[in-house]
Amino acid sequence: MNCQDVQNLLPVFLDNELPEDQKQDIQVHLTGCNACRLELQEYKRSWQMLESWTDVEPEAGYIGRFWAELSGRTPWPIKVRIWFGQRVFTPQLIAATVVAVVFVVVGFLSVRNYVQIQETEILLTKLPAEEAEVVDNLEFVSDYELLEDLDVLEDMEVLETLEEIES
Amino acid sequence: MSIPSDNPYLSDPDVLLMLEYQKGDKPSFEALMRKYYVRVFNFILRIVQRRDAAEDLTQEVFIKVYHAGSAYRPQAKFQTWVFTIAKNLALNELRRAGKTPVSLDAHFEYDGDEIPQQFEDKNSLSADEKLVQKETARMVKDAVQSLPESQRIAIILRRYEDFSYAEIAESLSCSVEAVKSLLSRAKETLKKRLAEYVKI
Repeated sequence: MNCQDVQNLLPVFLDNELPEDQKQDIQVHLTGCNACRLELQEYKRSWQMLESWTDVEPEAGYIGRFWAELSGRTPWPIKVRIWFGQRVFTPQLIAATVVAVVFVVVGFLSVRNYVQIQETEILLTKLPAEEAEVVDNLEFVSDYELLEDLDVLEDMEVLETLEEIES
Repeated sequence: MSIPSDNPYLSDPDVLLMLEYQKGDKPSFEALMRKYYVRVFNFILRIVQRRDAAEDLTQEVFIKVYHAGSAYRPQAKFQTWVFTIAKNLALNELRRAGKTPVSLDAHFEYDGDEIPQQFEDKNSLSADEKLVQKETARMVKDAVQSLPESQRIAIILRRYEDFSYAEIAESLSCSVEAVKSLLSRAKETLKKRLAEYVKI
């Protein structure tokens, strides 16, 4: 490292923010370079001088002034948001919300089911007579297919009667 | 809304105080205020150089912190967050005021009575020593005020608030490398401006 490189890095070197290898290179250079050591001392001195700009105390009673200022200035949307922020996740409100949601969902499904039933009944009244009879006896058609497998009904001549009806 | 347990900022005790305040614990907010008020006030004062403005703006910082309570999510150290708010308000004030230069020789006014810019050194300096200290402080303020805005804020955060480079980068919304560059140039300027006082 030459002197220019070292002097460019001295401000960050003083803050101990250089990678370890760069720090070591600078330390090695400084041991043999008087000019760079003087430069380092000047950086240190000017940095220490900043201490002379000391802190100032704010006006006393700042916390009381803060609360007084706040109460006069909080806009209503913020007050509403603060109010909700302190209450929205209480267990009671969560439970009430869940119950309300359940009621809404059940009510919706019930209403939808009722509407579907009404619509189906209206459709049935509009069917031609033959189709309506088939729909009404759909249950028997299904049972007849099952009845074929029951021997007792064959003995009772039920099957023969049904075949006659069908033909 | 819960904070994930792996949030790295939960190790910051001031973040925990803010989360306690979020649950409705106002004493936690006051504890934060007591801890940070003087620091924030002096930080803003060093930027805007007017006491009345610094008082008002410091109150504004904590009003913003107060209102942010319900939606607060720790995304930085609390200190970094608060000083970023303070920095933004201070810079807005400078722009609003048209960057009107303030004489650093003027005393601050408070309720019409002049007060010294700094409190007297409690170590009982002699009159000559006090004059030297006052003159040094004036030179330092002049030198820092001569820096460009970003360099000035970086110097103030580093020197007077002991922020790390990473925290300064977060506050200024820049990279750590950019902070290194800002501080290097600022320190070089300060060394030159204070050369008369630092010659070994």
